[in-house]
Amino acid sequence: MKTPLCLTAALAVSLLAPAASAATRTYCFELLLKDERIDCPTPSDPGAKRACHQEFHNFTTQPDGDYTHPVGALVEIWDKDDTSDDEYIGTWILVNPTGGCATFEWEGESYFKGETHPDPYVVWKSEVRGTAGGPKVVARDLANNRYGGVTWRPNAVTNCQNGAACNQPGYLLVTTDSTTERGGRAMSLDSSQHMLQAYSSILEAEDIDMVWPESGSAAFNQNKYQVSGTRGDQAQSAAHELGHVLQMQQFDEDDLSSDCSLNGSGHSLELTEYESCATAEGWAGYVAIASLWDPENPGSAPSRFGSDFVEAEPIAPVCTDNKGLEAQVVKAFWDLDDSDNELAEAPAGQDDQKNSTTLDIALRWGVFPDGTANREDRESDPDGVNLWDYHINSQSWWANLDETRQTLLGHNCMGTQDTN
Amino acid sequence: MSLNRKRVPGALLWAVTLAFLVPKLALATDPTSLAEIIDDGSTFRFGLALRVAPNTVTVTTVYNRIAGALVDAGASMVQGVPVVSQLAVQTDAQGRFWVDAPPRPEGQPPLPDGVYSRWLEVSHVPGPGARSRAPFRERRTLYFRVVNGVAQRLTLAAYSAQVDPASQRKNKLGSLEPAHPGVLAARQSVLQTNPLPLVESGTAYSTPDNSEQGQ
Repeated sequence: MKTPLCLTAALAVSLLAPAASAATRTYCFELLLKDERIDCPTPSDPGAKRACHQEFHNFTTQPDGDYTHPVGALVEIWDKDDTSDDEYIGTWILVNPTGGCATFEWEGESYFKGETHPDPYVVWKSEVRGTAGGPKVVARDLANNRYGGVTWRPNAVTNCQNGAACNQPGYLLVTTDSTTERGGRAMSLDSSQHMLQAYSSILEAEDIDMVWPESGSAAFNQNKYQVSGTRGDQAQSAAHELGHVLQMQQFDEDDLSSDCSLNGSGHSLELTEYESCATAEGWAGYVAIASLWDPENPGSAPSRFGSDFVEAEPIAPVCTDNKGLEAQVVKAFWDLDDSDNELAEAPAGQDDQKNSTTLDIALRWGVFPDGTANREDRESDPDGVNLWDYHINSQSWWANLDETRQTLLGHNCMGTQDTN
Repeated sequence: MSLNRKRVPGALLWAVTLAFLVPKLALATDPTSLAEIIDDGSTFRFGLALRVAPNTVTVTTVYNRIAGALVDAGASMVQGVPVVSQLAVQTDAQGRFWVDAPPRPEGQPPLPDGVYSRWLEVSHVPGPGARSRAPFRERRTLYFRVVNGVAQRLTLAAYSAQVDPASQRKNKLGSLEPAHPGVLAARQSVLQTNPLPLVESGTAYSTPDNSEQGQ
C-alpha cells in the first residue's frame, strides 16, 4: 500500500518538530575518592574484582596518593542559578571505571524554566548501588539522618550547549583526606558497593542503611548495618556486615541465631566458637572476600587479619579442632565457589572438587524453613545452624552431591561439626 | 520472599520484648584482629593485644596531616616533622604489650601548632612454618591538635568538624541538608565520555515557569 506523500510529510514534520525544540545536553565528569584501605586487593593483585587504590595521582595542588573511582555511586546533576534556586536535573549512577557522561533533555523540561543553556554541576550522594536498578546502600549518621552530598557548585560548567563538549575540567575529588568522617564514609560506601555489585540480583529491593561512624561494625536486621569509625579503611568490614544482611534476607529473619559467647564477647577468625557463630561469621567473611576477589581467578589470594583463606591446609592440625573456627568456614565456602580445586592436605582427607557460583551458594540459605528446631533458620542450639544444616537442607539442589560434601565438609574438616 | 511478611503490627510488642531478652546472641559483628590496638582516646600510649608472636610485628606511625596540611604519599618530612616513625613494642610487668606514640619524640623541637591526624600501624609478617598465615596490617587513626606546642587528642568528630566543616544546601525536595564542598584537581589524562545510566529524572521536582527566561 502506498502512503500519500502529503501524509508522509506531515508525519515527518510532526516527528521532527519536538526534536528541534527539545535538545539534549551531555555533561561529562570524573570523580575520585582518596583511598587508604588496607584489606582490599590492589590493581597488581591477581583476581581483584574492582581494585582498591585504583590509581596513584601526583596532583599539583591536592595531596598525592591513591585514589579510586566511586563506581556505583549516585550523583545528582544540578543547574546552577545565581538569581534563583538551582534546578535539580536528575540522578545518574557511575558505572564506568573512569569518567562518564550524563545526557538529559533541556528545553521544555520542568527544570528548564526558559534558561537558554544550563550550568551543570555534580553533587555526590552518600548512596551506592550495585546496578542501576538494584537496591542501594544509604549512609546515615548516628542520629539516623541521611548524610548530605558533596557539591561542586562553584565549579559548574557554564552554558552547556547542545552539541558542544560540556566537559567538567579536572577531577572531582569526593575526598582528599581519608581520615575524616567524610573520608571514612566514602570508603565504607565504596566497600559496600563491592558487595552490592556481586549480590545485587538476589538482595531485596528495599534500601539498606549503613550507619557510620559507629563504635563497632555490626548487622542489625535485613536492612540495616553499621560500620565502626575505626574500620572505614577496612573494605572487608562493611562487606562482612552486608554478608549478614544477605543471610538474614535469605532467611527472611531480622536477626541470626549465632551464639558467639564461647570465648566471651566478640569473636575472632581463629578462636574456637560455637558452630552457629563460626558458621554465621564465616559466611559473612566469605561474602566479604567474594565481593572483592574473583573466585574464578586461580590467582586470587584473599586473607584477613593474617588468615590465609586459600591455603589448602586446615588451620588447626587436629581435624575436629577446625569445626568452630570462623576462618575455616570462610575457606569452606570459598572452596565451594573457587575454580582452584586443591588436593586434600592433612588433617583433612578429601579434595576440593566443587566450583559452584557465588549466587547459587548464597541462595541456598533461602531453603531453610522458619523455626527454632533442627535444620531450621533459628535453630536454638548454639551449635545449631551449621554447615551440615546448610548441606542437608540444600542437597537436592546440587548437581553432584558428593563433590559438594567433600569440598565443603571433608576438605575443610567441617564434617566434624554437629550433624544435627 | 516478602520483607514485611513477619513484621505484622500485632507482633511488635513481642519483637521488642525479645530484642531485650536475647540481644547478645543475635548481634552479628565483625571479627577482632589478631593484633588489636587499644586506644584510651586521651593519651599517646596504646596497648597491643597480640595473638601473634611479638617478634613478628612492627609498629610504625605515619602522619596524614601535619599542622593542618595534608601530607603527600611518599613524603618523608613536612615542616620539619618526620612523616614515618618506627615505634618500639614494650612490655609491662604483667606481660602486656604497648607502644608510646608521642607527637614528637623527647628532645625534639615542639610541633607546629595546628591539627594533626596520624596512623598507628601494626604490621605482621608470619614466621617460617606458620600455618595458614598471611601478612596483615592493623591500623588506628589518632587525631590531635597542638596549641602553643602542647598536644591534645581529638575525636574523629572534632577533627572532622575542624578540617572538614559542612555547610548547607537545598536538596531536591527544597529542604536544607548538610553539604561538603568538593575539590577540583587538575586533570592528567583525557576524560572518558562513556554514557551513564539515568536513575531518576528531575522533572518531578521542579515546577516549570518562565522565571529565568533570557538567562
